[in-house]
Amino acid sequence: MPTVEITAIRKTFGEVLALDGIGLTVQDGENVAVLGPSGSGKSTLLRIIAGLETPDAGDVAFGGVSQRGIPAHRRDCAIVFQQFALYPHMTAMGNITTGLRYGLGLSKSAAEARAREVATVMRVEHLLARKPRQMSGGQRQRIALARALARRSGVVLLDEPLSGLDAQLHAALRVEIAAMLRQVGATALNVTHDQLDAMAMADRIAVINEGKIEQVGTPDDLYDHPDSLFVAGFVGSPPMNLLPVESEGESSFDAVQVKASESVTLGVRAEHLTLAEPAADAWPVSGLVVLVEPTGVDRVVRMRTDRGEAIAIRCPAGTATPAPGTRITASAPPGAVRVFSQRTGRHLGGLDDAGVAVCRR
Amino acid sequence: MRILSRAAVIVAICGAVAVSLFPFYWMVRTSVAPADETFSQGISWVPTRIDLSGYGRAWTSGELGRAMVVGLVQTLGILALQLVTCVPAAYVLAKVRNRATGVALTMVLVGLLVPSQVTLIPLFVGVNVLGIADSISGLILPFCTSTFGIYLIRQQIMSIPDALLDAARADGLGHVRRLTSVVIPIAAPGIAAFSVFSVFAHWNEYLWPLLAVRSAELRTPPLALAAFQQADVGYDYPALTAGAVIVTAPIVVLFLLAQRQFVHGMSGTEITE
Amino acid sequence: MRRRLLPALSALTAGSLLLAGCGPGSGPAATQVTAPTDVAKCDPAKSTLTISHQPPAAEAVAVAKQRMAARYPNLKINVNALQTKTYDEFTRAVVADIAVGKRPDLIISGLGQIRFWMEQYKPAPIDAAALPATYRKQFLSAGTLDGKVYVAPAQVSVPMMAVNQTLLRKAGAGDAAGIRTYDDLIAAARKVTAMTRRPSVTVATYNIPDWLSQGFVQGAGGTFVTGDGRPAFGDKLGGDAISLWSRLKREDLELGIVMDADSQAAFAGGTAAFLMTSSASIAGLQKSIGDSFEWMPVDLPTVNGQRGPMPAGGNGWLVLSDDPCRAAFANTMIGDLLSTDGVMAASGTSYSYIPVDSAAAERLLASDAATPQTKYAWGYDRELTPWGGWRRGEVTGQIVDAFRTMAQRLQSGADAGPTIQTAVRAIDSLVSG
Repeated sequence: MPTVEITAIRKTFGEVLALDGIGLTVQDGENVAVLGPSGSGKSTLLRIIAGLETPDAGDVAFGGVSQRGIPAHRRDCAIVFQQFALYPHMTAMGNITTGLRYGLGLSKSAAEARAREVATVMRVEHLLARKPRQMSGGQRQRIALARALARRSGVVLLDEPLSGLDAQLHAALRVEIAAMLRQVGATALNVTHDQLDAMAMADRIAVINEGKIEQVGTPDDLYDHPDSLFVAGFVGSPPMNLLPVESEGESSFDAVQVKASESVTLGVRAEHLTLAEPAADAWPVSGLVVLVEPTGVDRVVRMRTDRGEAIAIRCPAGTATPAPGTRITASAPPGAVRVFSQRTGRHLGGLDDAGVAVCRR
Repeated sequence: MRILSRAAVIVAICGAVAVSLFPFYWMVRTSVAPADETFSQGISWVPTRIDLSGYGRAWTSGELGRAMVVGLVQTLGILALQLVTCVPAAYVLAKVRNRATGVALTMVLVGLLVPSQVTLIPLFVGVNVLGIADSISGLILPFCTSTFGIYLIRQQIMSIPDALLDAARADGLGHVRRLTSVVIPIAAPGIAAFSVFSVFAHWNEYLWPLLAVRSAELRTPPLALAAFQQADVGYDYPALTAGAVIVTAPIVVLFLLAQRQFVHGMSGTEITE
Repeated sequence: MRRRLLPALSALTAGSLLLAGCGPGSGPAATQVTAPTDVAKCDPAKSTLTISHQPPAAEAVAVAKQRMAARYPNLKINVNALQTKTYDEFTRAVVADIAVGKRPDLIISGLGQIRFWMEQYKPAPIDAAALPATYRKQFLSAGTLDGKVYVAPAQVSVPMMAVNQTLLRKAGAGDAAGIRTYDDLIAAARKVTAMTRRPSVTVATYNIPDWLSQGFVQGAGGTFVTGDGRPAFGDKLGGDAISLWSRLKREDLELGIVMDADSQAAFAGGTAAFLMTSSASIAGLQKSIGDSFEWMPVDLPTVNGQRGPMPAGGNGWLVLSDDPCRAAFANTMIGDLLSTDGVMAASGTSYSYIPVDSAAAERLLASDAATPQTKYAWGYDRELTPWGGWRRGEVTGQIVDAFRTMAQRLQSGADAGPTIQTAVRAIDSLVSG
């Protein structure tokens, strides 16, 4: 299966800069998720890879071969579209075979044989004679995936493949789709705004924001070592607590002053905050409890500081949790605090190596 | 309470149906009643005897058989040309966005605002310059396209998700095949609705054929019926209503057929959300 | 249908006027008077005669075409059988044809539209001497303008009143024949209305308000139009004659129906006991009334009981040819159209036009189709005047509009004096240009 190399892609729509110098390489058989909020340019990137859109600059290559000027149906790639995009007036068989016949030039019988084969692998043979309206959401999604896989392309692109499905089906299908993609060994790129989907399905995640890639890494990398304020605030549930430091070094941490040569924001994960008796050197932060969310294994206490910043604290289940409206103090070990530049948004490091001075009051 | 409101709804629907069917009933009643019962005092629901002489007069002196053949050729000719021109135009205006299509769409919308009567005289002059006045072409060609049709079908095509057309592109369907294999089947209800509208409108059109046609051989049904509504000598109501029944019958049949198509088309092309 | 048609037709009128001004060589100024030449000098094979007519003339045209074909086997005759419903529509269609260079040689003209044709399209007078010997020359005055005969009247009608004798008898309202004055009419109508508890008279105001008004005024011995085409009905007698509508309305005796076809329906249905309309409708009324009740057409009652001459309604043939030979053939064809056979076809037996041929009148009166009702039309033998006679043919339509407005205001009970004077002033300014 081919690698996908994307270099310096730039795309504007009128005045709007949709993609600004995107570079990304997807290895043979790898599954990469492109994660970003809506409007970040991720769907445009996918359409450019597929050949449905032409970039203003930059190049897309499959296995080292530039795809410039090659129309969508001649590229070694298949797409699973947002909302499935099944032809409503055709049966599942028609949906699967249309691309095989007109795109790949297969004969009707060859196309149908291949459709049956894929349907068998995916256990959707019984749906082949049905039209989309006669199928459930999950069944439509499987047919949409079958349509893509039937092309036997080296590259499979998925555009928000799970949006529009209810939560349970969503969770089940993302596993199924990931497994299926691994089974066929395709190089996959899937675009999503849902970090749980991205984390569950992808080997690596490329976080995209405002037309630029913020960070590429494994799900753990992104969670543990966010390269930027955006990634820190986007990845994780709840995402990292971000507390800006004022010019005097004041922040929501009560007992410390943080002096730096530039404006910085401090970040700390919810699970690094504790409501238990603080250690001697721990940094305290206090505020009013707004909400307590039980998540099963633990619970997340949402608190608002006096400065009006929202902070999430993950508490082990079984410990006493404060009632909303009560005033609490949480604390974090200094080693868990990350420092970000407010100017560039980049991660500067921990308290030790970020070039900041800390004075306790 | 629920049963009561259901009953009220059913009564209201029956009332509405009765009110809208009454003119048709009265048309049929008048057409089969003796002439002297057309205006007989009070409402007599059923004529005292059936007199079909109105049908005889309508058919023979109105020459309705020939008029209906002319009407059929005219309306179907117009419809065929309109579909050939409107559907591709609607597709382009719905799914291709650039400066040219923007200008074209504005022109279509402006065209919608122009009452057809305003263009009647220029059309008449044009048809005469082309030498197709008083011919079947003169009845058909002026209506070879329809801004209303373009607009209506465009609205229908707009509701087709872009992703579906992208999928068709990725499947290797070119513009023409995308139009014939994807857009037309999905926009079929809108196209059918416009077709019914077009056929109704042109089957019943009086003004243009009146202006364009001189030969008795080219009379359309509304022109044929005009012979029974002469201001100078009074109306021949039994022949007029009999003629109206004869002329309306194909339209009613068409509508009943189209209605089934509608229901089928609607449920068969539901677009997944 | 009608409601949608009206704006359409007004647009068409505006358009036709425009066309009349700019068509290829068709403007009034471009047209030359073309006198017919001696038909014997013309080669039928080199001419194509075009004739435009409305549905009621179809039978007569068929007769004449056959006779022409027998006489000139090589002459090609094009028949434009326009399916228009009124003379106005027909005129617009012919104007449109002329504007695009398709000027017909022979057309039907409503007798109220002669001046329009004469002034706008300068037709040659017809050759009255060529009419058959049995043609009743007394009708020619209805087609004469400024001493020249432009139209040979073909299907002639007069304003008349149809009376439901059965209803009158039930109400003890006397005999139809006894109604000579407005007072007679009102007295009888009061009795019928008292019995039926609804208005019993219908005089529609939309289609022919000018013609009926002319009948009211002239019937009473008044002058409707001056010799030089100005309104003359503004005097005491004219006012009294035309105020019939408001007199009836004042006593709630008039049904308020506007369209002529609707008022005929009201009479045929037995709602109205008195209907004022054209004698052309007698045949149709007879068909739709059948034996339902006894009825009679009678002369229009007048304000003073006089029996002055009625304006001639209906139509006649007009030669529009711009070629001397085709004009000559057209004149010959008029002779055939108005031959005894042609008139038989035009006036009977499913029509009730006044026959313009004395032999045809005799045959119709002697036929099985002659009933007391149709005899009123077929036997009509009194003096007729032209319809209208206003100056400036181009304002013909606007004059009818002025009468329509006047009649409808009177019908809804407006004060007769000022309303009629307003109409007089409006028409006077229209004809003064």
